[in-house]
Amino acid sequence: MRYVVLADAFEKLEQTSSYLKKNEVIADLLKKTPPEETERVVLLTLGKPWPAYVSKETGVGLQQLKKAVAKASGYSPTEIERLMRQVGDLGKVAQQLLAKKRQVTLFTERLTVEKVFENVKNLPEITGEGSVDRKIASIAELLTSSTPLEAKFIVRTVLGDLRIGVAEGRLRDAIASAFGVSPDAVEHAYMLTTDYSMVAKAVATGGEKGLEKLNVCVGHPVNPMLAQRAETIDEVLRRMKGKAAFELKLDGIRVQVHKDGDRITLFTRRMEDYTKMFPDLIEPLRRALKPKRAIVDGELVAIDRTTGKPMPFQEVLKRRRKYEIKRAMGEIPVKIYLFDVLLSDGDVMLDKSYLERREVLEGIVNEVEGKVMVVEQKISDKPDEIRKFMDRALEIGHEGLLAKDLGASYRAGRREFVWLKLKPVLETLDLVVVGGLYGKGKRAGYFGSYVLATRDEESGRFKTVTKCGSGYTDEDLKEFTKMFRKIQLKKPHPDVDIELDCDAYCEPRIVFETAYEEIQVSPELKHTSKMGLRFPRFIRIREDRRPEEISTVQEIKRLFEQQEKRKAKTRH
Amino acid sequence: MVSIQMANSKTWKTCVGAMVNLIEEAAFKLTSEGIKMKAMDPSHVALVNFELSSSAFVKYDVKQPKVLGVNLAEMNKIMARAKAEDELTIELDEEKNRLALTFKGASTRRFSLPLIDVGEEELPEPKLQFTAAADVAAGVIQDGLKDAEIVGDNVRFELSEEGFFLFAESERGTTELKLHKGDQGLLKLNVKQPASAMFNIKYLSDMTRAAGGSDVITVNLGADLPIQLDFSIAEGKGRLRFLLAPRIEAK
Repeated sequence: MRYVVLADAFEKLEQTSSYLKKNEVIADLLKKTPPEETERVVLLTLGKPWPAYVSKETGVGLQQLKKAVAKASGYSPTEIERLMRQVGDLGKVAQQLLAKKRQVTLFTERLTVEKVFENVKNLPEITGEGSVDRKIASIAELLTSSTPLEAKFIVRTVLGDLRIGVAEGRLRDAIASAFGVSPDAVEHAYMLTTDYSMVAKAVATGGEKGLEKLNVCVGHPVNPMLAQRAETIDEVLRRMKGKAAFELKLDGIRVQVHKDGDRITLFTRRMEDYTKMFPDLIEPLRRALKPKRAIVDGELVAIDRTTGKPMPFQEVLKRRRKYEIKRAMGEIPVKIYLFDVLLSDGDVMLDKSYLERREVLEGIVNEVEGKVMVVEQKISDKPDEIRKFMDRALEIGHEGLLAKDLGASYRAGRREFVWLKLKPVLETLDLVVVGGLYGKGKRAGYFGSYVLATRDEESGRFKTVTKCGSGYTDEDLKEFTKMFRKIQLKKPHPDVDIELDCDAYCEPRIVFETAYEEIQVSPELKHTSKMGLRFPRFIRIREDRRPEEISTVQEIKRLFEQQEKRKAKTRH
Repeated sequence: MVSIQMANSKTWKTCVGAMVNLIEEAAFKLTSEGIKMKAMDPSHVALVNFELSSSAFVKYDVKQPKVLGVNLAEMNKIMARAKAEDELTIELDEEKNRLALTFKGASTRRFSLPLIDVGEEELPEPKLQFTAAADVAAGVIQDGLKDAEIVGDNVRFELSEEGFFLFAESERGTTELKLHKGDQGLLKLNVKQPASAMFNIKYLSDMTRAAGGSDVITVNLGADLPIQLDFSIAEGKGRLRFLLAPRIEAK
């Protein structure tokens, strides 16, 4: 399959912001794709030659890529630099320069999807002496044979920023319409494998039957099951038919542990590989899990060494930076509390009931004191008893309780009312940053406030809900400005509905946990979600949360209704 | 089996040194007549064409045609350790899939190098209608390239009835080198039609780097065609040829 077919489709995708049109383009592309190329085409459409959960980068920076463009086009780095300042996108620069190449080649070959895929995929494997030059040569090899349009997308693929507005979620509908299967079946298969390239391949070769054959497997993160919110213990008992299991709700990082023989892999909720961040948990997990192969679900918590109490979750994330891991291992010990099992040796547990899974979990874990534990749990139908358990949880320093329906299966990637979180504290919302406004005075030069958006469950679009200018330290603002700059856009992102004028816009990627005093109705001209927050205050950044998982318009509406009910009660 | 021997290491050393900056891997094809290797750089801008007759060897034992794939950078590192006058023996260890290189001089030194799989793509050799040719002393061209490097990345080659010329030009200034008919460095001149074209200096210096100052380079040119550079090696028993695609002049 020629790469130009892909480049043409990418160009169309970049040109349109309509969901339906994009859908059509991807579906057409998939129909044109020979089955054996499906995986490559899907991955390249999503922007990387490996699934999103694989924590790999091409390792080629902008400067090196400029050299590759220089080599292929025959223009000097200075000329490229000059054009880059005008155009701002090296992909477009490559496109323009290759249209008027100065360096002739001895012969040209037509690029295939396979050639592009393999060269880009191989970039991280090029290491050692002279590796920079060899990486440049490998990219230049593609660029010398590429058409201007192909060059634009090759450059962007290497940079890891394709800019065609295709989030993973879009693949669901596109695959469904390309192969005539139901979107739900596609989504379900995705939730189990977290890899649309596998899903598409399965449909392309085996149709709906092929989809059904897909199942969880060790090494591929499973989209975690999530919990809805509940306001009161009564509500929980009502929704769960009078009786439920209650577990401590820990404030940590949700982690899915995969054990494959001696190999342990940790995935976050965003299905990023965090194994390297927690070297001190690997051996304990290896010892704790009895099966040869297993997938278990848990929460990773940092423990304060002096008080023995759990520490806020940011402390855990401080380990993020590589050089700090070693120091953090001593200063911030971590524990993992396991609460569910998805796979145990040959048995896929997802369709089993909560009770059955819990029993299996208890049977396959040898607790390693201070490192690997099974989370404390109580089954109860008595509100008083549950209240006491809740009080104790709060006293130890946990967030509250999680209530679980005894009969519910593990619903990968779903947030349903069979898991409910009970938190006494003021609700916070997870919102995504979509725009920024410059600060004044000592905050000049940085963004001082951010426009935050919620997500509409129905349309998948981001709609603004508040402008948040408090709760940040000066350090926060500096760091966020830096993060913002990396994903800054001149116009609002196509997936965002925004009426407010901002100094700058950005891709909806950074998630802020935000507190507020009250939810209000907002004129649509101000906030497109038609709701607003009174006294919004930044709490922390949620790096474990994907923009697709933030608080939704529907949830906020529900919170609003509950708030109004409460207000009505106190008024009486 | 393969076991070949050259009286000195100079030829192999210079050839590998000239190729190593253009291509990463090379597939040397050995037959009873000699060794051939042809490869293109990844950008498709330059082509290397190497031929060495079996008569250049004091011992040439190649029973069956054989392709030896090597990582040139690794081979170059080894060859850099050889003294030009060392007797060179190259042998194939088929069992271990390695190549053994032995330098015999003041002492006997032995190196071995793993063989690799090199994709053998058939390279089309462009048919080119050159209109002018000249034999030029390598030292002259090396000087001209170093001059041109001062002002820019590219150099223009020109051949006319008057002689051989190099020009470079940029906002930083200009340089020129003239070699007139009858000058010592211009050994032969054959111009059917004057020709000129521009090339990237980096490629040219990589190709000419390994040549000795008194070696002779045969230059073939056509109007805006690739340039062909031929180096006679091993006293005329071999040839190293480079083809380099031209650049289009900036407007």
